[in-house]
Amino acid sequence: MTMTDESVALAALSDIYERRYARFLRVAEAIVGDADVARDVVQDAFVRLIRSRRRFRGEGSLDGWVWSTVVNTARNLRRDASKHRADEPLIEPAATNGHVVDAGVRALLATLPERQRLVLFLRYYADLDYRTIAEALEIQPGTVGATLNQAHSAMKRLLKEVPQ
Amino acid sequence: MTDHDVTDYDPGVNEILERQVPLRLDAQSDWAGALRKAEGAPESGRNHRPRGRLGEWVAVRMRSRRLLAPALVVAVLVIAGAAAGGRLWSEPWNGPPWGTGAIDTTHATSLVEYTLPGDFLPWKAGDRIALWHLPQPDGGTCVFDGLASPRPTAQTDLGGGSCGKDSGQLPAGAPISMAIQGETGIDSGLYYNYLIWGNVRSGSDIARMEIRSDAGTLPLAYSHYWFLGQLKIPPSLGSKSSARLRRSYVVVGYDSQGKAIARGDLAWALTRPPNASLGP
Repeated sequence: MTMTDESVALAALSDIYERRYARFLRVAEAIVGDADVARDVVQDAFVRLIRSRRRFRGEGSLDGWVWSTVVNTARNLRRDASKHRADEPLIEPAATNGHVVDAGVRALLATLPERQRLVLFLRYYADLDYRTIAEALEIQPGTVGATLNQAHSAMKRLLKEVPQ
Repeated sequence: MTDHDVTDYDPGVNEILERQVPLRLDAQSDWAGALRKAEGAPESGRNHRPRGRLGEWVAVRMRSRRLLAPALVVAVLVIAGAAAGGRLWSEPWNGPPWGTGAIDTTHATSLVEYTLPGDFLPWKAGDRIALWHLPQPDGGTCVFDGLASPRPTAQTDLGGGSCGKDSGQLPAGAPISMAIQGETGIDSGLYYNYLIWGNVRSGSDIARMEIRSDAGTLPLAYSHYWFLGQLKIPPSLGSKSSARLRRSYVVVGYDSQGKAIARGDLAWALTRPPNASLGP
């Protein structure tokens, strides 16, 4: 999807927002670890996207641009939160709506390099293809596959060490 | 995004990740809200009377502020009778006519002045602001923030604030009344930015005031029994893991001997984003 016309881009943004809202929330929550904060992240990401839509030149996909903004907004927030409160543990995922959060797996995920975590989130939580993941993380598509393989291996290796 | 070219998919990893973060299909999206924020239009539900225990208050965002502040500035929450939980105003009041925005600034007097340590739209760090006491012709009173100088001569000179019949009257047993005016900002990350103001009982022995928390202390400007200050926090303070820290946020008034003689809890206000809806 390539859009350069402002009005079309706004309509396209609206369409992506509405159709993918739950997935944006899920990825944002995976990064920041809090459902309420994730809602703010998604809203603020789209505020930025709407304001900067004139700068979208269609050089990559609109999906990639949108995902990049959502991911970066969440990453910046997490980074800022940990910097702001150095003595405060990073935001942790909450067990809500009866959803059980596995503390061992959570800790395991936290040990993975950030790029591996993000590739996992975008692959499994957002159901994105390699090309869109690459655009979202501003890496080469070939790097996505390699990173995903590394993440799979790391998870399998570490899972053996985590009590189930 | 639906044209999958991915073959490297591990069902075991998927099963593990599925347990970590739920797909919240029932989450309510708000495209219109994002659009309003992006384009600087007022958010819905701002110029209205809050419901319930806040129903005797009116939170107002001034028309001029909407134009200056790109929509991330939000409403004023009033903590009614901070310690006692009682009513802040004694009676409901019907004026001024909010739809037409007629606040009389003729008799504006400054209650307390404060130099902003950080930006708070539409003002910048270093700006000197004040709480303005604004008696209204029909007997009501408004308290609004605005630049300390020049003195406001029109409604458009005012920022956020509230009006009531007997502004500044505390309910019995309440040592402090507070209002919180907030906005969401982004610099290197998302943050919540608050102006916190209010008053203590007239005749009180309070000599100075501050916000105290496990994270440190923040001096508040204090004069004529009114206080004003700015608090910037990361949104993570609202998370469950931050409950202990959040509970530690209190506004404290000290007498001349340094003894704490009044306090008001800020925790509940910090659990919600600044753009949370008004009312209980």
